[in-house]
Amino acid sequence: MISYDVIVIGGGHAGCEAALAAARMGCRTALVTLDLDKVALMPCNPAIGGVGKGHIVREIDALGGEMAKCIDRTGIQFRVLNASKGPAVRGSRAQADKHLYKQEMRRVLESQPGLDLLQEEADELVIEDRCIRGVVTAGGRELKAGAVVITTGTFLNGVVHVGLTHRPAGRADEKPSTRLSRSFLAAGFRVGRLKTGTPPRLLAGSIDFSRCQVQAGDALPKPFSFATERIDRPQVPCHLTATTEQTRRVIQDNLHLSPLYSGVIESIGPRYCPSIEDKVVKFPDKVSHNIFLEPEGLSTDWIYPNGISTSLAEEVQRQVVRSIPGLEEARIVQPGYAVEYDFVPPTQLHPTLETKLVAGLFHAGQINGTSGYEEAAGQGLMSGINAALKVQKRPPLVLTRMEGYIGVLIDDLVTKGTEEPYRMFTSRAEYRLILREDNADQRLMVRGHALGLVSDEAHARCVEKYRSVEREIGRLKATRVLPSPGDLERLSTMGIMELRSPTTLEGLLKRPEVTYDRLAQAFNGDCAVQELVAEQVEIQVKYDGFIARQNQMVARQKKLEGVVIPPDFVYAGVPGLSREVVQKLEEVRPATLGQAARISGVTPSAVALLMVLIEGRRPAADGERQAARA
Amino acid sequence: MSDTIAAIVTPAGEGGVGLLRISGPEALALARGLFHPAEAVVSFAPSPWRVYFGEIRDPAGGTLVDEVLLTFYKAPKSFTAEDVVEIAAHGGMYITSRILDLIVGAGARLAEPGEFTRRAFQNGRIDLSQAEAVAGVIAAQSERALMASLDQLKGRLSARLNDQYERLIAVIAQLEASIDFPEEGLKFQKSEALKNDIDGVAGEMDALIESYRQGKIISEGARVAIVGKPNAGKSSLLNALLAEDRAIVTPHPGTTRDLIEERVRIRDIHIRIIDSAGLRKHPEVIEEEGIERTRAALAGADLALMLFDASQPLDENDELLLAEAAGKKKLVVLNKCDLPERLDTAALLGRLAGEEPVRISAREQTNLGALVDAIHDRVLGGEAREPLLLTRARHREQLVDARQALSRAGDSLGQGLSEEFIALDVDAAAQCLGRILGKVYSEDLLDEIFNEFCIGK
Repeated sequence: MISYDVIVIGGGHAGCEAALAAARMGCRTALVTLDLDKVALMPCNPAIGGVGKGHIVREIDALGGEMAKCIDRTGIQFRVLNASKGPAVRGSRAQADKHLYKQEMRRVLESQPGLDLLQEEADELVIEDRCIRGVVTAGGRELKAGAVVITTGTFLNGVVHVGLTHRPAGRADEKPSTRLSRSFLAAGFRVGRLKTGTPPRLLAGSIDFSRCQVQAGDALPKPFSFATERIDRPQVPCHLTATTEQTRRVIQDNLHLSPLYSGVIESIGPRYCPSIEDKVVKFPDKVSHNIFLEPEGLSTDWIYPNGISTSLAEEVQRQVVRSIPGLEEARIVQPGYAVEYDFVPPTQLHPTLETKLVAGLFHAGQINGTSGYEEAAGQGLMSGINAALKVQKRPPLVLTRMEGYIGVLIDDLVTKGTEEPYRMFTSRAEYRLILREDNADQRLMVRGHALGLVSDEAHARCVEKYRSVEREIGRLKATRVLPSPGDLERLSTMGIMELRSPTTLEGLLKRPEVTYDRLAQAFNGDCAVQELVAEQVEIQVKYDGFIARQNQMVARQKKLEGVVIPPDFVYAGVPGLSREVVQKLEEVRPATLGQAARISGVTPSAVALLMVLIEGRRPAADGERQAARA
Repeated sequence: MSDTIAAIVTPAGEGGVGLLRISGPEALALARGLFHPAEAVVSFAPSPWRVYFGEIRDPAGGTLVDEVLLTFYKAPKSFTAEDVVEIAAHGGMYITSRILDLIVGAGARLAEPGEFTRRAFQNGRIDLSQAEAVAGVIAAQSERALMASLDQLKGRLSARLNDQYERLIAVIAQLEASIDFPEEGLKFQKSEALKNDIDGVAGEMDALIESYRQGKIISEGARVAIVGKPNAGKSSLLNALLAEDRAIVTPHPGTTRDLIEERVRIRDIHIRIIDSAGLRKHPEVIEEEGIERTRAALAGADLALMLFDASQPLDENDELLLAEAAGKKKLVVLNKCDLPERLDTAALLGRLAGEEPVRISAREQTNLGALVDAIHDRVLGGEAREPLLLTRARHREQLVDARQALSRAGDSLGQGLSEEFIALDVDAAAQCLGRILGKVYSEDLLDEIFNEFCIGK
């Protein structure tokens, strides 16, 4: 019998990161997937990143994951979204050549020492005494493992809908995993059902792009990975068009042919990524919805029309597409569809992504109710890391909400669960102003390095970068600027015509109209620092006050996060806790009071009560009281 | 469950009956050692929730301390959900203190402020919002304060704050959508519209914060300091108001050396009147402390009654008074109007722009009705404009914080900063409201609330 330290089931974005992390941490690892040609496939949008999602990709990179490097090598259009807003909410996004992307990821997987790629179907989990022992494949082969990571995406009991017809399928034409799904139920997991969807794909040659608006990428593509120096691949444009009055009419007339509106699909889809039929029904006054025509790659003719996800009948899809300017003659090469699938509500997980029910079993990605490649990859990385740490009997790694979006993501999942496919937004991160794409390295690289996932060299570069930042800010603070003829002349080159009182270079940089580049040019061109250092200096100086306030919020919250609830704490019978609150607390079993406070339905007075009970904060006779209570 | 605590639960120095409460596992055992029922029994074993008549005797020597009523409340049907014994003794600090000493001597611990309620809360007798409202009811000292407390209980304040909360959340939703959905082609509110929304909520917060001042006066009473030069008639005025001879009235300047605080009730509000030592420019050494206190009293006063002797010309002591009271809310009172007027009233009022003086004679008790009316109006600032009263200090602090956050949001908006910076402060404001509304846990909640209870309550 073959034995592994870690087995990862599923080769999507979560599975790839999990397998690579475990193998790189020295575990003998197997990635079991139905089709090796489809590892790291992008079955929906051919793009990585976005606002909030780009943050996750940068964090994955800082921790030593692969996604950022892979998209840097295969991206065909890079753009920073929200470029006109503050640095915390700028989000990197890149169109991927989806074929190159999965080839590149497969290359990385295949060249990873200690990682076996097995093209097989995993049928059954082997569980003994609530501990994972391994998996059994469809061929009857038993693979032993110390830890198993499940990243099966939409394949658990997947059903694909096009119009009123549906068939069991994990994605467009792939067979689902129904036996594995049964294995989950047998193990005692609660299973829920979600839905997601994708638009029809169009043939580029059949589109009249002259009727669409060209949308180019950024002139200077900004890489995702801290290790990538620049993007060399030629960049291609996307195109923008929009739905029309005719589109709306076609949809309204054919809603009876929609599985969503005829009652065939009852599971919940993502509100923020609605199908075109949802948009028409829910926003009847909005005549026109934006459609982005995104190339799926350099070597393919397939176009992804972002914005018309649909599960209407194929003929209706054709009419919808042809009602859109530029798409009058467009040919559909793959119809849009909706997919329903099982997920395992993530409140059944520890913050390490290990299941509470079965020791050594980890879940990551859509099985946890999330949506998006980036969310999946972030969980995949953390589950791979924690599976490896568990096998190696080392303490787990849990990122907090103060450390990164990945921390926010996993804390939300295990604390609140989710009712719909969960997508990351910057608004989910309460410490958003300090969790920026630009400082993901400062926040997390030390963690990746400690795990052995980030090289000494990359880590040293990061340390040196932030030393330079500190030095340069020190210099700016120490350099005085006076209303002297010399300084005034330098100021005039920046358009500042008067200086009422002496200041420093730091004081000048705080002014909204002053950039670091112009300041350096005007004052000491010789003291120029690296571009990435300059970026940090500018952000840290300009947003100093806001950053300080977020740090205060973090410090306050840390007190609550520091109150550890004993793992065996019995909520039932605590006077003053309602039955509903007890039930929620028992379900989630929060690790800290901070986490308890985030559970929906757990009231502030319940938190206060727990605080009293746990801390026993009354000054006198504390020990006695505790003893007496017990 | 815990140790046994005891305290006097009736306010100090008031009423004909003093109530002592003992709570904890040893409550009954402790009481048994001190209480001797009138009906002779071999061993005193009271039925719960029944009143027993008997005597408290000092266990050392057996001397009679007081005749009392004793009630035993068996856990969990008691105030704290622990075993509780309550002893109703004859009022007065001496007797009740003596009994408390005996209870503590027998092994109870003196309760900390709010500890009974805290125990009740910890033992699940009341939840936090009830505890806060109970604190309000306890502190209510007149019908109007009681109305304000009941109003809060019914959630009218909550409804107002909730409305503000939701309006802020709507603003946040606008801001967040523009951050998180940059590609949707959504149309967002112009910054002027956002500013209007924020300013609208901020204005309502201002009104509520102002109502706190009135609310505080209604529930805690107003502090009115009587200040004036020596022999202006401060003590006479106090006595006239109290109709009770507490301060020594003598013709010698500077006899009132200590601050005297008295409570009077003017219509529906309590007034604490602070009589001060005379302000003198060259005080004798012994009076320095009194003058310091006067200044302290002035500093903490909601209203200064500035007393001038109408029968004397303005002198340097009056000048000193005018300087000390600058910037205070004040009522000018001209005393000794039964005597020939030698004060240059016009000149004095010229220096106190807009002040309408009240002319009285404290000695002859003339025109006191007009003075009382003027005090009432001045203290409340006319009719209460805000029907909903914010009465809790914790609530006010949160509202003030929220208001400041909205000011910062307005500044960010004015500077053209992008949405996430505005959202930070609008969210901070919403969080403050959330803490009042019980939507958000705040770590200092417990301390603040329990500290508001007076001892034993």
